[in-house]
Amino acid sequence: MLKAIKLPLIKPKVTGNEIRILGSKNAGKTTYLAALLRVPRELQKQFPGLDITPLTDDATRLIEATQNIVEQGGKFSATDIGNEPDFYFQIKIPATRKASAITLELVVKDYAGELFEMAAQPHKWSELAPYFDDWCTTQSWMIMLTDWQTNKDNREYKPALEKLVNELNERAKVKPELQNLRIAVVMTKCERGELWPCRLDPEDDLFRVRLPQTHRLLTSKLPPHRLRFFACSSFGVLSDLPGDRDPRPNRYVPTDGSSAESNAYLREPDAWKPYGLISPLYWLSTGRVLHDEYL
Amino acid sequence: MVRALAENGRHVRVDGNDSLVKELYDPVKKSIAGTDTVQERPLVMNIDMPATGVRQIRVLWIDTPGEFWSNSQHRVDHSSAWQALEEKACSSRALILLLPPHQTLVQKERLNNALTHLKPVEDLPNAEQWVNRLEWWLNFFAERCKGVKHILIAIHKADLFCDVKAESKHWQYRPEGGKSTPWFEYSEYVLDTYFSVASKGIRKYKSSEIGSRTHFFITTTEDQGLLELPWLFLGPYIAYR
Repeated sequence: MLKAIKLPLIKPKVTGNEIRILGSKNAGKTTYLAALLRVPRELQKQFPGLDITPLTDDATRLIEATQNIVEQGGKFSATDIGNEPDFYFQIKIPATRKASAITLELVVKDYAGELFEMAAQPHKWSELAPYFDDWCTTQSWMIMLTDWQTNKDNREYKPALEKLVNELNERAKVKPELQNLRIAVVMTKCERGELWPCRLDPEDDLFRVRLPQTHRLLTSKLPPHRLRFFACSSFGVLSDLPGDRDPRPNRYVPTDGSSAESNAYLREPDAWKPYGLISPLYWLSTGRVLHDEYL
Repeated sequence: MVRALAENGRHVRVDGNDSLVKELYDPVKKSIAGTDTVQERPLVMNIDMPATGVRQIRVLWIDTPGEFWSNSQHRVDHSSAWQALEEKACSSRALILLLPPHQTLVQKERLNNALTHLKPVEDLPNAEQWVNRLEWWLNFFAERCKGVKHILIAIHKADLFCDVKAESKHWQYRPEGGKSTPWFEYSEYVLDTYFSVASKGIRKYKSSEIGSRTHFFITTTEDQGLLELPWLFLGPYIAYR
């Protein structure tokens, strides 16, 4: 005779975290947050239980702005220094065979690109200091980089990160909790042709190859449990369904002389399916790698 | 432009401003008051956003005499006024530049058939003058307007150089239709079709950082569909922040 077994009700784990997003101008930080909060339909279809809920006005307004701007073939203007919005939102990731359900409750602040660039210039440090103080009140940094110009590695990214990590390590001597601060380094816009196949192994195929100085610096200064490399694409490609593969970027760059670095627009809003947006947030919040690299 | 949006706005309306319209427009003579000093007027605009419906934005409209911009001697003669004006422009979030069409763009039949009150008051510039003027502007934007988030450049009086009904039918905003025209398509079309005489300078400008924040339009007070487009473009940005 079979006995009915009553399983205990398992509430999904809720993990809270505060994250600072830094990175170069035009890296696509705001667009990243927009794509994340919007959860375009194609992404929702692939992950039916995925639920991302805004919890502040700033977050709700970003979703509206995404619908009115990005989905209409526009792009966000640059974030202003001193005017950084606070995005507080919740991500519910459904259970799979490999992992149980989890809810992330996140406060994310998106900083102007100029600030990251200032870190590379010694004479600007005093101007940057109050921001740095704020960045050291959290346990999670997300650094977003794009590699449109090859000299950005040695002229901007490496010197900026060197300064930030050195200062961080100094600060950690008096503030021990900073010794656990995790840094997720994300290569954005990986929908671009030559980058797309490399997204599955970002550290080796993207960072080591394309930003070698930055990669070498970071791996020499931070242990593996505090540093991880990611790739993401806020626009994604046109289609990745087996049988209907169209790996062309879902991106339009005007032919009027505009530079692709700051002038890409979402080409097909109906086909919008971002890649890899949640993985860095998940790792920063749990120390574990998310089971599905598409998320 | 403001008068037309106040009186006949559909998806972009300047809010309840009968006094504003009276100030600007003489219905008997059908003439618009010219601007001879820098005038600041607060406007409340209701803009129909594609995804979320009507949102209200507050705009400070800074209207400036044409001479300041077209006449370098005027700038020298009124240098403190010019400086004040420059500063206002550079500290704005967005600039809308309205240019007249040049002679070669205008179609003779359209000019002859235009209603009297629509005929241009002064002679239109020839193509070379027009390109020089535009390049002065692009230079001004690149050098002095680095903080401006959005620069919109429109060739006004489109009724003189194209079939506004046809263009409007193609490009006008149709929220009920579901899909609206992507802005990048529109801007490219306008550049190719109406700004071609200045294409070399524009290409160079477009490759710069400020070029990435500049969009191109055609406008006319004779068609709401085209007239509203710059505002429909700008609306979500201003409403969002």
